[in-house]
Amino acid sequence: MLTEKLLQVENLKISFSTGDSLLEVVSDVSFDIGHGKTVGIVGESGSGKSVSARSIMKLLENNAVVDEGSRIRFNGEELLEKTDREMRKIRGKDIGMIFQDPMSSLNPTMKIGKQISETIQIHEKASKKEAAARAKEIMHLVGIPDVDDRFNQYPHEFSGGMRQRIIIAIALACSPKLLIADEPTTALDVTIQAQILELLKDIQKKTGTSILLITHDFGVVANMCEDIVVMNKGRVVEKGSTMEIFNSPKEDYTKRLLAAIPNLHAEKSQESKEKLADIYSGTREKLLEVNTLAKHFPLGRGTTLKAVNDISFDIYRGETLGLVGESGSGKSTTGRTILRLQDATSGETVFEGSDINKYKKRQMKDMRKRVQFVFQDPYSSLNPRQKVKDIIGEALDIHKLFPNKKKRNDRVKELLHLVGLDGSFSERFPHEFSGGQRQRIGIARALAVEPDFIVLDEPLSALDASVQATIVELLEDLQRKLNLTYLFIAHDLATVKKLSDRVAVMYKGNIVELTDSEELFKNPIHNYTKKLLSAIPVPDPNYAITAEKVSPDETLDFSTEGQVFTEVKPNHWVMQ
Amino acid sequence: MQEEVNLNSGDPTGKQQFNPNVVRFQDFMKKFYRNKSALIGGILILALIIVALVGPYFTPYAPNTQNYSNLLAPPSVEHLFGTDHHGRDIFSRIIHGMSITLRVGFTSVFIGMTVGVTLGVISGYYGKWVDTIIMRFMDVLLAFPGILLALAVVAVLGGSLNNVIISVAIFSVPVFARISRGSTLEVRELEYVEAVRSLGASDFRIIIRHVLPNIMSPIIVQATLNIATSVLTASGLSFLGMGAQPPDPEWGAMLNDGRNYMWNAPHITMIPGIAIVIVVLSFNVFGDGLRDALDPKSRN
Amino acid sequence: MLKFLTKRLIQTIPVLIGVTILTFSMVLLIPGDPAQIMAGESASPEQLELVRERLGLNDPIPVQYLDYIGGVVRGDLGNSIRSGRAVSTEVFGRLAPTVELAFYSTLLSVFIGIIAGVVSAVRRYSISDTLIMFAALFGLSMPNFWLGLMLIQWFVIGTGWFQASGWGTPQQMILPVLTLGTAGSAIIARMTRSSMLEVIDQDYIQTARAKGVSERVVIYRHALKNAMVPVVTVVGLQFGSLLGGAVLTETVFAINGLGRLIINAIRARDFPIVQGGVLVFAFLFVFVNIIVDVLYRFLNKRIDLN
Repeated sequence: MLTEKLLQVENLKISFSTGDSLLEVVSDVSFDIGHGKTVGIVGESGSGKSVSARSIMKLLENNAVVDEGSRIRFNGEELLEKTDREMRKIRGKDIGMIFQDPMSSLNPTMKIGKQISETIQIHEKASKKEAAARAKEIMHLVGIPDVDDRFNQYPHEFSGGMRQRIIIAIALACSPKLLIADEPTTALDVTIQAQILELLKDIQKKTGTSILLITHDFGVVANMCEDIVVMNKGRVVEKGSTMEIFNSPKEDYTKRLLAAIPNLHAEKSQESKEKLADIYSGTREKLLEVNTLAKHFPLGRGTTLKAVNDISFDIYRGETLGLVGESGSGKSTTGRTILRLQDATSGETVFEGSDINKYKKRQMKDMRKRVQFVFQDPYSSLNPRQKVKDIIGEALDIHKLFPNKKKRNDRVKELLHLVGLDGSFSERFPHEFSGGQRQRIGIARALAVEPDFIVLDEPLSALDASVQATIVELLEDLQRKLNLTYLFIAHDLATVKKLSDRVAVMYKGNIVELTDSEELFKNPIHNYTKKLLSAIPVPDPNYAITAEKVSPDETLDFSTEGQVFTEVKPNHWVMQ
Repeated sequence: MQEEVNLNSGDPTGKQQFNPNVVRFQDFMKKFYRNKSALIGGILILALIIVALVGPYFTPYAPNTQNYSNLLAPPSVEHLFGTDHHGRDIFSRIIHGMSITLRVGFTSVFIGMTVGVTLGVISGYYGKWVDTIIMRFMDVLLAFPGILLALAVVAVLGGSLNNVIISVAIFSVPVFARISRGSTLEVRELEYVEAVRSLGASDFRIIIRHVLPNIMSPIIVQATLNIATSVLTASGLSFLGMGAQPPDPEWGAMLNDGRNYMWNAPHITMIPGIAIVIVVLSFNVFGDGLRDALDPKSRN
Repeated sequence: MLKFLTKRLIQTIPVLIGVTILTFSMVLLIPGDPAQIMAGESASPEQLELVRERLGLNDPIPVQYLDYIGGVVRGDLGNSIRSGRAVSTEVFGRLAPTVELAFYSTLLSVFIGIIAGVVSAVRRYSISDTLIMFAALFGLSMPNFWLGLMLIQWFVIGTGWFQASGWGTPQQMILPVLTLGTAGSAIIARMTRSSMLEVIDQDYIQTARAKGVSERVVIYRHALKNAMVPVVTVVGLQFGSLLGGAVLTETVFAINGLGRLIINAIRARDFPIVQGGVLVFAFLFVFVNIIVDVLYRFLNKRIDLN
């Protein structure tokens, strides 16, 4: 009997028992997936989306309790009534699962071929040889090159993107009817993400499997799914076709989430245009000048990693320069080296006329009052054993700015107000705050010494989208009020566009393109910039991912050997 | 602002990891009470300390009073644990020996911990050649297997209780150095340390205020477990006649005394051994409990 | 593999030099005149001078050290003060029982420890887990010399099944191996358990379950192998600490091994023997560690050691 829907989830209710009490994490969740369809569950952290997905496989933690009224019908059968033994026959065979982190989801001591064929051997009673042959076919299908050689390799011999392909291969091994993908691309760079999403679409076309995609990224669902389920705090906020959700969201929560997505096509503000005009006409003061700055790390055996390879750029007072690159591009190292959190291998960082790399200890300490840093991770960047007042006040103590404890604490409260927090928070510890609030504390700490220049090292990447938007607003606001200059480091072009006046694109230690942000989005010149732009999943169902099919060995190599940074158009610099 | 709190903000990437060294105090206390082994261990240790401090005033006999009319007597009402080959009351000797055992355990670990943590933190924080030199030196100390290093030190310095303390302390230095170096390396890379550095803080300030407090948990756990090891090592040295000298009521030495009378008075060897087991077990139970309570993985 | 071995050997050179410096300075650090101590209280000035001359005590310290290390390289560790025989002969003559004792004890503790640890982890929070972990804690908390004496009390004095002195026959060997292996079993059991539990929490175990693999296969095929990785290192360290522990066990069971030789030499103030014995112990331990490293590397050559 062919039921109309492949999967029907009804009134799903899941609680976690925490010692003495039950904590409900999923309440009355219902949705369904048709044959060959892709449904996305979108939600921010803590929305219960992953738990809902795992409950379909019955792979929940031991302390999870599924309410008796819940129904999960798959292919006409009630999954919640099945014993573990019966469930095992469905896992891997009828339902495959793809996990978030490709680095930890593969068994490090088992050859990948074995890991793929194991599923086939279990479910299809295939001989070792047959299973291996079938595994190789699937490896080919998911785009793993040199299948015969790679079959006998171990996971550590593969890159992150390749490992994710292997995990997909495992999930696909028995041609499941449903593929559950739990944040399958969150841990990957955007160009690799585009490849993996493309692969999932391609597989769906070839095998007709249904996909349940769990993600926090509206860009991903817009490009992948027919239907969307928006979840918040364990409940379904809204569900409908992708077009409906994007074009006419009904619930406030959905609207707010959609509004928080940076728009790639937005015009820059008048203010920013004026800044650029000043910069290009030479009337704006040059605050920082980076000249052929290099940072090399020894890798042993005489080889070095050129994390930053002779880069040069200027930063003007009051502007925001965006620095974009994928993991390993050297963008964070650049930020750290400019502020001398690490010593440069060579080159100059000229701040108001003198090279800070030549500063003695004393001068450097004074310098620390002028330049500051905001960190990526709002959890590890605050000492968990210090109260907020001491975290923010420490800079004041170090530079002996307020010898009087009372005045110092008053100043801390002022700073908290400045970043939109309550002054009474100063007596609390970091763990009492949310990610966004912590990031505000981090910003307040940086502001304590009244710096001119702040390096923002991926300050948004650990935050939910709606929170990101509020932090961006805060940063813009502070820049206006305090005439701050920012170097804004990020891995994705969309957020950079919102905040930056000019943008530099980094690739393998080099700046490959530098121009104002509007120009960069309209007329990208360097191939890598183009690739990066096309890989962004546009949060608009009318656009499809335009990533051309990339060769599966992921060699996105844009050699910069022997190239020079040239001004190809007025104020548009490209490595060529 | 309000929005943000409502939206239950966190991170979508799941990277929200806690530093294993960092556990909130309230959580710790909550778990500590729930963690029975830590509680039991703690109570036992407290009881042992009380016995060591107060017990000697209440023993029925002086520890070294000899009574040649009552040699090798088995346990009785009069002599709870019997008497030894000099007719001394074993119960009294055990009670008096408690303070020796605890003193050796606590002092040697305290010395070893202080030296080891200092070296380890310096090594981990500064890295490069400082690290190489210190850790090579630790490797040399670790090249002497087990009790042998302590034995060699005692061989040079001569057998006495103080020398046992010194030798056991030296023996535990590398353990603490390694642990604190590892934790320092971890904490040093955390962003809050970098944040403080970017504020212009001196190395000394960073080490004292930001590194040390955050590496204490594993060190405290190790110290507790190391007291257990130290008590075993020290009693081993005394058993070999290299530690406490007669007539001190040291348990290892008492055990050694009893060896010659195993045929007719087995209690002389049995009882000091049980005493050692109780002390060592208490510290091991407590250390295990502490470790669980401080381990963020087993939170909730 | 050969490259790794060479590198590992080169790395140990500074450690070995450090070890020789320490054993060399043992004699220097003895309070008082080493010649006096070695020759005895009643020695005449001439005899003292003779001892000094023989030990090279009149030379400057760096020269003495070079002499010493030259001797070590040639296998000449000096002569025993009491017997007058070469230290190397005495020491190497006693080596076999010690190494055998440590080896069999390690074998025993690996066998018992791993089985107990796996059972404990698989049946987490069950009665068998509680019992095993309590036994392990107890085993860890017993002084091994006391355990040895108790075993003698029960099985030698009590039943007469075994012998309490010497080395070679099963009756002589079983009790010492049991004595020395107990603490090792406890450590390995605890390590195996926690390692297994840690591995079971890993993402790839979830992947395996999502394949529809049975729990048995999850544990024995996917978890066990990964859990053994840290255990291998512990086993190596264990062998070393059992070598050290042999000192006490040999004393308890009157086994004429290296440990007992050193103890008797310390009592007799026969420093060349102490020096040589300790040095050999340390060298042995260093080389055992190299072997374990190589073994580890061999067993896990597929694991990225970084």
